[in-house]
Formats: sequence, C-alpha cells, structure tokens
Amino acid sequence: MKKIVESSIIHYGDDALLVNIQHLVLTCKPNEYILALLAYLRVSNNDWIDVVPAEESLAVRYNPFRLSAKEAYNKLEKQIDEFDFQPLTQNNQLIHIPVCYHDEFAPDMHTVTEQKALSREEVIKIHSSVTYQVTMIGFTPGFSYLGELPEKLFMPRLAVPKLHLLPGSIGISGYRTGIYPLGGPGGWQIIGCTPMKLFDSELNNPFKLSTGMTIKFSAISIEQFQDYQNKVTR
Amino acid sequence: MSIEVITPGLQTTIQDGGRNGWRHMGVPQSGAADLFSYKAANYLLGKAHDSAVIECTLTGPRLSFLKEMQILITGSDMNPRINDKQVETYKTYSVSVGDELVMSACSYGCRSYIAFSDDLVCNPIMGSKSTYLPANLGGFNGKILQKGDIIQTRSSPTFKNKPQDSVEITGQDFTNQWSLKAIPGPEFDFLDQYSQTLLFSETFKVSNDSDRMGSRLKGANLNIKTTDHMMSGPLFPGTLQCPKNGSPILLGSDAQTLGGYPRLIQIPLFNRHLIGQLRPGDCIEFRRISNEEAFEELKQQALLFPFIAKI
Repeated sequence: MKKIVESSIIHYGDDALLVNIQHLVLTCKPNEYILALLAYLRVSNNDWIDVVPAEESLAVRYNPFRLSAKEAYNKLEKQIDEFDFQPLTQNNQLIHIPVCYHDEFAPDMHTVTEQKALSREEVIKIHSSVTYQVTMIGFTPGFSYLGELPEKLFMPRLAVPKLHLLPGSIGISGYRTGIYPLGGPGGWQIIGCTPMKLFDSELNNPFKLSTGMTIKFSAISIEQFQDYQNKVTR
Repeated sequence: MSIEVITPGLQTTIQDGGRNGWRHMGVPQSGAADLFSYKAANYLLGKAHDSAVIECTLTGPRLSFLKEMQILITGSDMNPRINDKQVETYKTYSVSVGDELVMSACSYGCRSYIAFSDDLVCNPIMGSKSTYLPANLGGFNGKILQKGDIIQTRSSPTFKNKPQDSVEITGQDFTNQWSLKAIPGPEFDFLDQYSQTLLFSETFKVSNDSDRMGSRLKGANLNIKTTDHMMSGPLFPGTLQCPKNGSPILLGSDAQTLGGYPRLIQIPLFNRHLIGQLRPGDCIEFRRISNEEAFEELKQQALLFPFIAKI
C-alpha cells in the first residue's frame, strides 16, 4: 500500500499522546485523513478517553492508571500502522441555515465593511453566496469550522477575544467562517447569528452539525429571526 | 428535600469529575478544578466517586438545609461554620432541617468542595453534571448559583453511611508560593535557550485575569523564537501555552480543546489539580520533571490516596 502520510507520535504530558501528521501525497483533502483516523480510533479502542482531531495533528488522552505511557504509545503506534485509510462516507447533507446579519447580532460587521470597503449588503451577499463544508469541529462546544470563505471577506482574528457570544453566532477569520452553536468565548469577527437550534441536550448526539456536512446560509430579517425563535419555543 | 442558597459566594457552581469523550466536538472537560480535593470529598463522605458536589471559589456560599443529611468539605479552608459553630474540613458533619452552613473567604488556595450524602438533582449533559459557564452547560441551569436558588436533592442509592477512615487526609498544604512539576510540551523547543532556562527558574505571578479556563501568568517574558505560522492543535487542562506577547496561560479544567499557541509545558497529573487552587497574586515556579519521574510520583500518590485512580 502506498504511504500517504508520515506520522510521528510524541508524549504530551503523562496522560496524552500527540500524533503529528504530514501528508506525503495529497490524494484527499488534508482533513479527510485525520477525520477517518478519528472515527477509527474512537470505535476501535476504549483505552482512549478522548480523541481530539486538529488540522495537522490528533491527540488521544488515556488513563495512566490503566495504561503506562509506553503501553499507550505502542498501542497507538500499532493502531496507526494498521489503519487502512478510506475516505469516510460522510454525511454531506445540505443544511440551509438562516442567518440574521442585523447589527444586534453582528457586533463586528462595521469593522468588516470598513476594512474591506464593502457595503453591508455586499458582505451579506458574499457570505451567503457560496456553499461551505464543515471541515472541523472543536475549540468550544460544537464550534464548526466552515470552508472556504471567499477571499474578499478574509479578516484577521479579533485582538481581544469576546468572552460570551450568543448561541448561534456566526464569525469569520482568514479563509474560514464558523458557527458557535452554544456561544461561549470567541476570537472571530461576528457578522451574524442563526436562530436555528444546533444543539439539543436531549439527543444522544446533541450536535446537529458534523464534519462533512454542506452548509448554505440565507439572510433573514430580525423579524424573521424572532418569528423563527418563537416557532421553535412554542 | 433541598438546599437553599442564602448568599451565593463569589462563583459557586455544581461540578463533578468532568465530561469525558466529547473533546472531538469541542466540549471541554470541565468538572472540579481541583480533582484531588473533589475525589477526596466524595471518598471520605462515602459517596460514589463521580457524585456531583458544590465548588466554591475564593469566597463560599451560605446554604440553608431543608432536609437532614451529611456533608463534608475539602480543598481550601473557607472557615466553614454550621449554625455559627466552627467546623473542620475533611470531616463528616450531620446537618438538620433549618441548619445553615456559612463559608467565608480563604487565605490560601482558591477552591473548596462541599460533598453531600444526598445526590444533587440536575440532568447530566453529555454524561456529566458539571457546569461549563461560558456556554451555560450543565449544573444548575448552566449558571453560577444565585441567592434564592433551591437545589433539589434526593437520597443517594450509593451512599455508604460510614466514614471512610482508612485514608488519613487532614487537608493539603496550600500556600501562596507554589512549585509545580512540569514536563516539556510539544513546542517547548520553540523557546530560545535562554527562555527555556527562565521558564524553569523564574517565578511567575497569577494575574487577576484568571478563571476555570486558564490562569494568565505574569513574570519573565518568554521569547518564542520561531515565527512560523502554527496550525491549531489539541489542548488539554494542564498545558502552559504561550501567545506571541510572551505572557503564558496555564490552562485549567475548562480549557478549550484546540489552540494555536506553542504548548510549552504540561503539568503532570499528580500536580495538575493544584492549578485549581491558584489564586490571583499567587507565585508559581515550574520545576522540570521527566515523564518517567512523573509516573513514579503518580504511583506513589495513588498508594497513599487510592481514590485518585478513578478517572
């Protein structure tokens, strides 16, 4: 089998291991290998308390009272050796997400329009014109990295992150746009908010979005935002 | 069948052992910031190891009991009193209907844990009752306890009504000057030689800008030599990460799951719970330890306190 990645495992403290992954041949999108490895490690072994994927690396946490550092290392090394990469059949379902870009939900819109010399309407049009793919989930609960944002909207992160975002906040940073289903802290420029419930604690998997899904935003007014919320809560 | 919050204290929340197995969805571990004191509280009282407790921060609450039960307090000493009578930490007390527990401010350490013979009634979210404040997840409506809140309780099916006295714990030696052992982290090499030495010799001060997510440290400015763009990588509680400004952040139990700053050191498990006891103004020094030495220390700790092995 042709080797498609070079991976190296290092110890990350005394209860975690970090796998750095370098692609040798790009037969797939870079994150596809890591997401497939994540799925494989999560089902194949109950020694990993947590498996955490990132863009070019992945970490596992283990219980050192059950597994010594050496045992954990050997286990992970063997698993990665045996891992036969197949791109995941992902749930690429298209989800339409309504977004209200009204000032009330878009504290950083003015910064974006100013720096990009675009009107609010143009920003909304560009942001909602393309379809995105959920490439990664992480940072805070359910935070979804979506790619790729049209270049006209590339913005740096905020110098000072915000501490409490509204659930459903939509941000932009570099070539990514992202959704904060549960709110929380965040350092991206916030340009809107969705009233759609993307988290339901009653469900086995409370998160509505998963990697691979296709997302299309559609602009709604503040009245539509409120109507939507009322309908959901009624 | 409940406990009423008369005054809430500074930041009082419901916590347990944390949310495991959801980091791939960005869900932090949360749970008690000082897991040692948390586990000690449940163990000494005779509760199941993963029972929910009340975590108090710097200044504790005043609670009124509407049902009789037993309680036990661990962690930092907030001068607990029951009906104006001083009580000790790490000791079981019985309270009756109408009794009041009053906690005040602590001078050493930061967090105190109150365990109850009754179970605190709240819905587990993703397997845990712990409160994650930034997203209002878990615990008491995802929030810090407020004046007038009534926490429902019910008899615990797993409560063993006999004090666990096989392990002697009389409280830990809390201080305002901490020495934490640290294992070099994935990007330790990003520091220049001089900064590597500084990190393991200088004293850092915990700034006011500290919470359950992380403690911001002030002190020697660390120089990150590489200017390469770093991709976001996995993070865990116990990691010291360092932004470009050179002021490191020591991550706590609510640590975000991914981050883009160099991970300089990792506090090993046998010391990690102490992060939850750092208070603004405290001094910390980091002392280098190898992975193997850390494992030996952990085994020694588990011999003395077998309850820590439950993760």
